[in-house]
Amino acid sequence: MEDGAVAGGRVVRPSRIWSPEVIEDIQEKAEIGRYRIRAYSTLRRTVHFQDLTFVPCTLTRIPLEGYRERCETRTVIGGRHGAEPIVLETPITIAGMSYGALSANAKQALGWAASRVGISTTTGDGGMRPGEREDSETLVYQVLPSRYGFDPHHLQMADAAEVVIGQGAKPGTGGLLLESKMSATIAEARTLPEGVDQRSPVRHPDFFGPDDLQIKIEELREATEGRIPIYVKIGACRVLEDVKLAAKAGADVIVLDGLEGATGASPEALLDHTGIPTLPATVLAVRALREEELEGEVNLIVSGGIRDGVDAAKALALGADAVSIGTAALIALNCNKPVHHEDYERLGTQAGACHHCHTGGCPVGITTQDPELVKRLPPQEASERVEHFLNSMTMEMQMMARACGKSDVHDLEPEDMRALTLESSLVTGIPFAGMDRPLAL
Amino acid sequence: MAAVAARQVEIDCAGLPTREINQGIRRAASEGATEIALLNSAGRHNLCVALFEAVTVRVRGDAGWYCGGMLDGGTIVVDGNCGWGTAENAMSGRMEVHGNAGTAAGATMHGGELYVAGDAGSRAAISLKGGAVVVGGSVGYMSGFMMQRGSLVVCGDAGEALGDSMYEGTIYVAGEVASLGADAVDAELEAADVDLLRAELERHEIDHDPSSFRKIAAGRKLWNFSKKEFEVWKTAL
Repeated sequence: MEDGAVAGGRVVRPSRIWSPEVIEDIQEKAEIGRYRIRAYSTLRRTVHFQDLTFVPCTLTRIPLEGYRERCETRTVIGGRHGAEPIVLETPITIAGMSYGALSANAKQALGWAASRVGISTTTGDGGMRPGEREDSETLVYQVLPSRYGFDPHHLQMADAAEVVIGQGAKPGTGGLLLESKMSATIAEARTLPEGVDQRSPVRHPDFFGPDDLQIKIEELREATEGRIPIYVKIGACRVLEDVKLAAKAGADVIVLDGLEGATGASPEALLDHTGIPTLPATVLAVRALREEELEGEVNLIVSGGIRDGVDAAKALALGADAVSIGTAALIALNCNKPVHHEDYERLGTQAGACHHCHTGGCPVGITTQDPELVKRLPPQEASERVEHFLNSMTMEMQMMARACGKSDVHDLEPEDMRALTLESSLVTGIPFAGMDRPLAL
Repeated sequence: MAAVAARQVEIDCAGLPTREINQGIRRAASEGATEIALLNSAGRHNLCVALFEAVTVRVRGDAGWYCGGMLDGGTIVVDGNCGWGTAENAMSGRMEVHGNAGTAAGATMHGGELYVAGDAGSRAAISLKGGAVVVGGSVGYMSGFMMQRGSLVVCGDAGEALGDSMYEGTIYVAGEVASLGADAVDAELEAADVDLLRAELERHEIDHDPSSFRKIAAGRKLWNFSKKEFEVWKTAL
């Protein structure tokens, strides 16, 4: 409520410190006796790719025909140490989301869609779901601190391994899967008692720092005879240092997950108050690799708040090799679709503003283990929606590249963009629209 | 590589890249060797990783980190000491360390057995998911942290925060326990526990009275949050 707003004929003046939101927050905590938990990502406005605009060709350079000329999207990553590289037909990957956080139908639909589009999917905390290998033509196997369901045979079946140091939604804290989603099947896959609140560890059991990580990466290479690339996923914090350390530890691919990265359940305080946004994280990661002369050798995937092909194109223009999407893919599946209104209401929310994955009561069958709700997501048609969305992202990326005169989406560069906000100009070094040189402090 | 006797093979690690040592083990196993000895191991990291073959590998010296990591089916005997993560995430099979093992021995093992004749460092049997970790000597702090299933047998002493945040599983300690971790509680030693301990002790020729062990299990207060148990949650990890 704005200061001085009129309600019922009277001026009410809520405090800006003790706002209605803060009052609600304190009283909720007074009731539940702990930090608040919810899903999705921060509700904050962050400095974001939307703060940049492309400046396509005019008289100074020549565009490609936007709707028809060839524009390459194929992306090959992970070949740094001689492993068989990962080939993505378009520079998008599906981020690691567990079977447990997601329903089997959701995982299956994502796998089918990614396979048809020619991109990779990723396992999650809890290991490889039965059938996941068959569903996903290119599958990245996560190595998480919990090692729930970690099976070396699954590692050997994978196309890449991803050592998860952290995630953007809650860097420095482990995963969370609450009681309502800890079904007998999910519990057994994780060797946990049914119905417990799973609070995953954040520290790996058998290594801590970057020197240890190097030996761990070598172990993974020994277990796979060096056939598959090793990714390292980091929640964006001290990006310049972390990217250099991960690269030195031997990562073939660094997956950098920014503050806008989402999750199936998290203490709310962490979602809103930890990490740095994906846009500055991308800039810092590219700078780190450039300073180490590893640009192009160590590949960079960025994630967190990538909503469409335009965000993706901007990330590529800043120097990322690919983007990873999670929430956007779930929304394509049907997340927040205005159907089953009564079930959104039961969760205390509504379609369009639902971030209640942690409850396990997902009205559209995506983030639930309730068999009745899961039936609402027939995987075949759901996978078609994701496939269509991925194709739209590819087309948007190509459209931006062609308008900027580029026949490969990876040829986009910072000079193809201008900043629409002072913050985005400052963090990217891209000139503020209307200025002829970057802002500098 | 030299054939010492029928089905016995020696690999001299000196000068060989780790990849060639591990591939050499697999190749020897596929060619019918049943016993493979590693000479000049010199504390090398990542020896015998992902050993799935039903062979016995004897490391005639010290091994570095992750020796026997992801073991599934084979047997590994290390005459000397091991670094961190010994037999980490083993699925089945058996590993023996005749010296000491570093931090995180038997971390996240899903099955099989790890026996350390000497001492193990901190975080022994961390996130254990199955199988057994038997330590002839003592274990360091935070051993059995977030244990899920399986058993940790400690014939010596245990460091601080033993069994912190364990979900399930059982820890047996013959000596002193510096302190129990959050939600780790004493439990009654039952006949089945004594039988299990007796079998382990006999197998490893350890002279201890199986009925003298202290049994520690999960208090299960951390399974689900309760606002009435803040003291448990304040320090719970």
